[in-house]
Amino acid sequence: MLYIDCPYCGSRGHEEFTYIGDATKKRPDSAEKSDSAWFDYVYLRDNPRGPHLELWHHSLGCREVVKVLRNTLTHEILGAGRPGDEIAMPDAETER
Amino acid sequence: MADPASPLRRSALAGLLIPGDFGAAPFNGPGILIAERGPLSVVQIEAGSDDPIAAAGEALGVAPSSVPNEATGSGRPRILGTGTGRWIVSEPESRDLAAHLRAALPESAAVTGLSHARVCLRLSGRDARTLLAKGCGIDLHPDAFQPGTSRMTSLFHASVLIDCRSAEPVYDIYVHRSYAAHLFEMLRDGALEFGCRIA
Repeated sequence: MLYIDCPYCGSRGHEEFTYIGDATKKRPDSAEKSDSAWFDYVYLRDNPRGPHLELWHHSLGCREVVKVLRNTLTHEILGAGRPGDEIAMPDAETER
Repeated sequence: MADPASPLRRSALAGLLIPGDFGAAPFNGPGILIAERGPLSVVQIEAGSDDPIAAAGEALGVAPSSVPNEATGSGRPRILGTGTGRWIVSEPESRDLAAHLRAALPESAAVTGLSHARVCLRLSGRDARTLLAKGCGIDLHPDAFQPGTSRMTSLFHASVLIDCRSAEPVYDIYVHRSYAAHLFEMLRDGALEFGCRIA
């Protein structure tokens, strides 16, 4: 069980959440006409080993979107906050 | 507002919630008590661009709390936080609560009547926490889930709002109407080992 510290509800098990995806992708401006920019936004994702910012929907709780910093290798939850929050990346020393 | 006695307010558990004692018969009485509360007026307030707390406090005589998971009011009404800027107001049905709130709150607030869309089960008894733990992953320890707070979570896979009314313990469980029969059956079956009194 992964415990995610929801900004509203507090610590909850991951089975209450629905995974949305990469939180680092920025939606292009709606006036953007280039196909490659939209293709990149819709389809292209990095698959990093280690800390990764992602969005989880607290579907069985407060129904808000939570930004989570998760280590994709160890599944350690390193931080959580609202989508607009800055979540500090761990130092290289604390990385396992 | 529907007349409380009209067929429109027929309980979702009609024919299923049969009063009586079920399951084990411990010498010190049933460990679980289950009852349906109602008819209730249940209304959701969602904040828009203006903070509705002050206006809601004036209209209801008790203000919603801005503290996450904090419940206010003793029941007439009871106000529960369900998310940032979102509350459920619940009281025994006596007035058109949604219209009352719509008139009192800022234009930007969304007021949604949910009275017919929710069922409220009151769960109490000495084994109530153990029964909840069978189907719910939150921390139910009395120090963690205290009276005067509520939780949005899942119970036997149904999305619920659990209001801790007292440390005895007494819980009010709000569930979507169409899941009420499922939830009631799960609670009743889970309660058989403790002895279950349904009222």
